[in-house]
Amino acid sequence: MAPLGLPPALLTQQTPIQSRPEIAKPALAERPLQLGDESAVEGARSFADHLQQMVKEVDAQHKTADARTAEFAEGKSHDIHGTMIAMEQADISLRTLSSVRNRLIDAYREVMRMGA
Amino acid sequence: MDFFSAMEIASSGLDAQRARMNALASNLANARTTRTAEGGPYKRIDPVFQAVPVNTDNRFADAVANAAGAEPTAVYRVEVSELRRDQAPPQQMYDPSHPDADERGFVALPNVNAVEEMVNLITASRAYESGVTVMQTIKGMAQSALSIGS
Repeated sequence: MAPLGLPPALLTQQTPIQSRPEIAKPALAERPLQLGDESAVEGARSFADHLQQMVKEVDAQHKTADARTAEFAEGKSHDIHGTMIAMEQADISLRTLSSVRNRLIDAYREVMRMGA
Repeated sequence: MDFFSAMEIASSGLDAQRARMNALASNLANARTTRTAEGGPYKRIDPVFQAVPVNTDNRFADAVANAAGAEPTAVYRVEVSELRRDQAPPQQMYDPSHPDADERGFVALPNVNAVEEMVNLITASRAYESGVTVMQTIKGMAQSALSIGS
């Protein structure tokens, strides 16, 4: 069991994908978007919940940035640097989310390649 | 404490410098104004800045630490506390034909020194630039942190 040079503990820890609901099912679509939803795992929040919350936060930041840009364009606000900073924050948040998502997909593909 | 807190702080610095620029613009625009709502010549205004702790959760701990003479636990953003009116005496200019001249023929002009205001203008502009540089550095740090994974 150790031709890959992995510690045995790491290999035995692997659980079948079907028994891990957060990977096997499209958790984003199935669960209603709700902050503080802790029903998934007793006492702990699943990774999918954290990801959902992150998506919501990034979305909220983009909406703020959009609103401020619109206000600026309509002449309601003259806060140049506030608008730019809101846009930068939204940009950094989106990049962070995208990085997390890429790492997640990479890990998932890695697991899927195990049979091949 | 995250990158966004640093951005909020830098943003408050930009706000403060913009407020200072507003005051400077007001002073320079009214450098020869002899009539104001409260009567008399215009008096130059000067913003007074105040440090406000960013992490509100730590405000109590910060007050305790301050009282104990220890280093504060929070970082501070800046806020414009008030716009101070400079109470220095007005400049006197002899111009008997001016409608606001007194019985001796002197006109009270604002206590605005254009040279001083120009120096403040340059300082405010440089301070704003340093705030923008902080912001760009924070952004660069965040982006390089994101490149750790790739």
